[in-house]
Amino acid sequence: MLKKTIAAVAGICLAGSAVFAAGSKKSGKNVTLNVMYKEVTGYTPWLEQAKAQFEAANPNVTVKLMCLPSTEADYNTKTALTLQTDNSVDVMVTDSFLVASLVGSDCLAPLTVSNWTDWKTQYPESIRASQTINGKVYAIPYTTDTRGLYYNAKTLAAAGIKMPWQPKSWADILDAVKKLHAAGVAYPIWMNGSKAQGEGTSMQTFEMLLSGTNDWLYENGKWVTKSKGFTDSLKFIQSLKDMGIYSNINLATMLDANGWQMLPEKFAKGSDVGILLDGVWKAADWINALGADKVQDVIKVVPMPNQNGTGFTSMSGGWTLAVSKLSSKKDVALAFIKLAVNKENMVFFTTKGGDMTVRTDVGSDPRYVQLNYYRSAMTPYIGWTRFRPAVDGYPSVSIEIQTAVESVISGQKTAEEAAAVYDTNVRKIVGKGNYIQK
Amino acid sequence: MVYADQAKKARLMILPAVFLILLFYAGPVLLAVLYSFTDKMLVGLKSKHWSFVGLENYIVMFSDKDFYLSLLNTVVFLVFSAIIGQQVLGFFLAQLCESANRSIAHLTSLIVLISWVTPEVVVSFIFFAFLNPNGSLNNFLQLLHLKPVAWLYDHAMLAVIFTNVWRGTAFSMLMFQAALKSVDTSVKEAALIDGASPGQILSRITLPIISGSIMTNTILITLQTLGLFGLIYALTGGGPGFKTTTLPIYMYDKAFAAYQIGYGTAMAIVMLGLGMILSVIYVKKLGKDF
Amino acid sequence: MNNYLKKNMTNVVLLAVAALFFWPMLWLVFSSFDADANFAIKIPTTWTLGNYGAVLGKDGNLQSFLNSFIIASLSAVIVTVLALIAAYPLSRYNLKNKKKIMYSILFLTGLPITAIMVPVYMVFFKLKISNSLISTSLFLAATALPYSIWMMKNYMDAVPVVLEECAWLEGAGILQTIRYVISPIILPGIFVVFIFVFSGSWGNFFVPYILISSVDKIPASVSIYQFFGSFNQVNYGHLAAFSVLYTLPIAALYLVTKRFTSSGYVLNGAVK
Repeated sequence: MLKKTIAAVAGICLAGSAVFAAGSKKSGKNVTLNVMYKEVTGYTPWLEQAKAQFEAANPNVTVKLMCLPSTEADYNTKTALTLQTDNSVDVMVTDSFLVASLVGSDCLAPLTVSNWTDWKTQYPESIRASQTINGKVYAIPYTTDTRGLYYNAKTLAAAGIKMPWQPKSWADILDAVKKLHAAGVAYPIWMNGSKAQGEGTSMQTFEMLLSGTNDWLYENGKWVTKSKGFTDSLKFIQSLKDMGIYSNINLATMLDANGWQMLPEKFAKGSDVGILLDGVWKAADWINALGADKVQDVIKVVPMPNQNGTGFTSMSGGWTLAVSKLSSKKDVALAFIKLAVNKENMVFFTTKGGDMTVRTDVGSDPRYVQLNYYRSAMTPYIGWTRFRPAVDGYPSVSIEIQTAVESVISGQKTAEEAAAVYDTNVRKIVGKGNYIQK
Repeated sequence: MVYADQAKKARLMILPAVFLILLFYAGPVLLAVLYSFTDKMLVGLKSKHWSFVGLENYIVMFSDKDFYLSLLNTVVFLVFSAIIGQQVLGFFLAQLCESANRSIAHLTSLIVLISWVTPEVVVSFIFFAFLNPNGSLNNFLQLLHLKPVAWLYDHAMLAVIFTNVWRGTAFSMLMFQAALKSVDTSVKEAALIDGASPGQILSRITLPIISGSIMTNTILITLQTLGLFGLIYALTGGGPGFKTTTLPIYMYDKAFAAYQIGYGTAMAIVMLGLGMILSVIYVKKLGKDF
Repeated sequence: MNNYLKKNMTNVVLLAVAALFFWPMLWLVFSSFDADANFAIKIPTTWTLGNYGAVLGKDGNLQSFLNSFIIASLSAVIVTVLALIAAYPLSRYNLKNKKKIMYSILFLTGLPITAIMVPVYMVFFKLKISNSLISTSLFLAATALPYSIWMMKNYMDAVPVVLEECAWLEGAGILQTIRYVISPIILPGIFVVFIFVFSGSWGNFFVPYILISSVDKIPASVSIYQFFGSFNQVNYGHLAAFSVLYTLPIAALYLVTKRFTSSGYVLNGAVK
């Protein structure tokens, strides 16, 4: 029996090896272009379409799509390692946020865009600037996102807030929160606030606040470790805590890395959540929950106001297609990228997923506009949006931001205390001469 | 005891294993030790152009308050989930299985063992759902008219300890089941006849006989649990805040979230040292010789 | 009378423990058949095989299970064999540097693998052996060896030398002794080591994620993350179905080898 078991196991192993060996036979064409990406809804159909088109136009090229499932954090690790050493990967879907660091370690190839009309005509200045480093372009954005304030009109109206709600300052937001709390709403405002929520806390919550003040994270080549704007942003969060608007269990749910999964139920269909500070991709959830015809009556979106009524703000991230410095087919790679991000393919992409486009022509295409009201409404936010400091050290600083926010929203520290910890830690992280205190 | 040439051949038998370990394991470990003395980053300028910084990573680490916090969390997690939790429960189950109905013993062992072989990510997923504010445990509490608790937020360390006990008890149970079989029943029966209580039989006869197994088991599960990463990370991410951040998680945060490879590997080397110290203490204390 | 109560008490307690251990698993099983799964254990209002259909039907999932199987069995077989023959001299002979070797082996097991993955990636890449199921298996085997040698040695230590001496008197060589005399006795231990390495490799995400880039080579431990990666709502039913399918082979392996491990040590009989 034992012998039979061993024989069976060995036999299956051999059979398996034969299968996998057979599967990796070469295709015999001249050039293989390897494109690596992370599995997200809509990506595979989009890239399959681009692959088909490219192969048809270039018969001597085979495009191989490499899709790796993982969390976003792990994918960024994979990106970093792959671009440093693996010369078999040509095109890499890259988080826009990593691009500057990758350029710093000489992992990306500069891209020739001077002869590409679309770049100048269809990509807004802010987008183009965000990917230009030392005068060269290293990655082509194909999607971006903006953030704003969603609110449930029914819930707010029931709490006695005048419709349509159009907050012009932080005080307006706090006012609405007070009214919602008095009306017994479980989550007057829902926002990311924990370290577990990672960049979601830094971007959707903290940087949405900070960018509305007169101070920023990084000014004139130095990190700002202490400023009034920073402390004020934390004070805003502290006032939410002080108002006692969250029960322990509700706070736990809101701060849980997977808590967002409750939102379709609680925010769209229910009346447990009044206001939601989050990004444009969420809209797909509301449309799914309530149906495209009814959703606009319930869920509305407005831009995030600056602290003192001086205008609006937003934050943007996004993803790009980049070419590896180690690639031996950089020209082919760039040609593929240009095809993948052309107008038709981008319209196709945005119909498969909820991602916002960066291209002006796609943004005004009726197919894009009609598909998702919120996306169209939030696309103009690109006009006043900010990007994260694309410098070495941001990832570590971001963790300090998340730590600060979490300690304040959970009541472990006051705004001033958390700001002091941030100051101390970031000064250590960035080193002497790289920071200023205001 | 042996014929000389057989002895020589015998010594050579270690070589294949040693060779594999050296080639695939020792090499990268040495490289990791090297990195711990540098300021290498995962991305950015310092990923390719890093420089030696001597003991700076270690100095920063030993003056980092959070490092000691994660050390404390690690020790708490280790002691309560493994050394006490898994071992006591494992021993308890092994003892009971000895004298229980054959089928029931088999059924219980089977279920406990399936929880051991379940992949780590699935275990985290199961308990994420089980301990969720809307999950089974809270539903059960509500059935008893008790208030639901946010386990993963308010009692995060307890939650991960509980999960790890569920997950790992089988190993200790197996170890003790085998060890208990070597305890001669006739000795125990003789003691019973002499009037010894079950408690006395346990402490004076059973435990001393299997003390070797206890020590081996303690060492093995200590080393296993020290390096435990996936289970806790998937369940709480080390949170809320820092409450369940053990050394492996802190190291991962530094190396892969903050991209500080140099600092992260320095921390790993320290963990290696911790494992060494604990092993030596165990071996010395329980007097086992090789 | 006392004995009867005691025996029943034992059974009741064991059953209670079994139920407690099984309880969380129940959710997984129910959710996998539920068209509308959420966090609670509930009898599905709509029983469905759709979750399983979706998981098995998706491109690449079956291949990933096969890859898991290859990696896990390869590493387990390598470790079991190498640990067995390495443990023998460590158990039986007074080697010159025995203490040092045993300590080094012990210490290596305390290092978390995540820590060395960046160096491993670098080394594998330089040697051009990355993105391979075989090299990944060899790496997993190498990292499981220290622990397994330690376990194997302990099992062997419990076997009295007298049996081998009988074998030598009859002219048996060392490998024969290991194969025909020692292995049958420590067979339960051998299987524990095998299952330990197999399930460790089966469940390992980070190692194959870093070392493998071809989508047709990734194991199930990586492809399970297809459910965790995007902003869209996680389908718990699908995830549960995948998890059940992912756990079944290991559970089956354990059941198949159970008959070899349940007999405990048959030492007494062997000595006589």
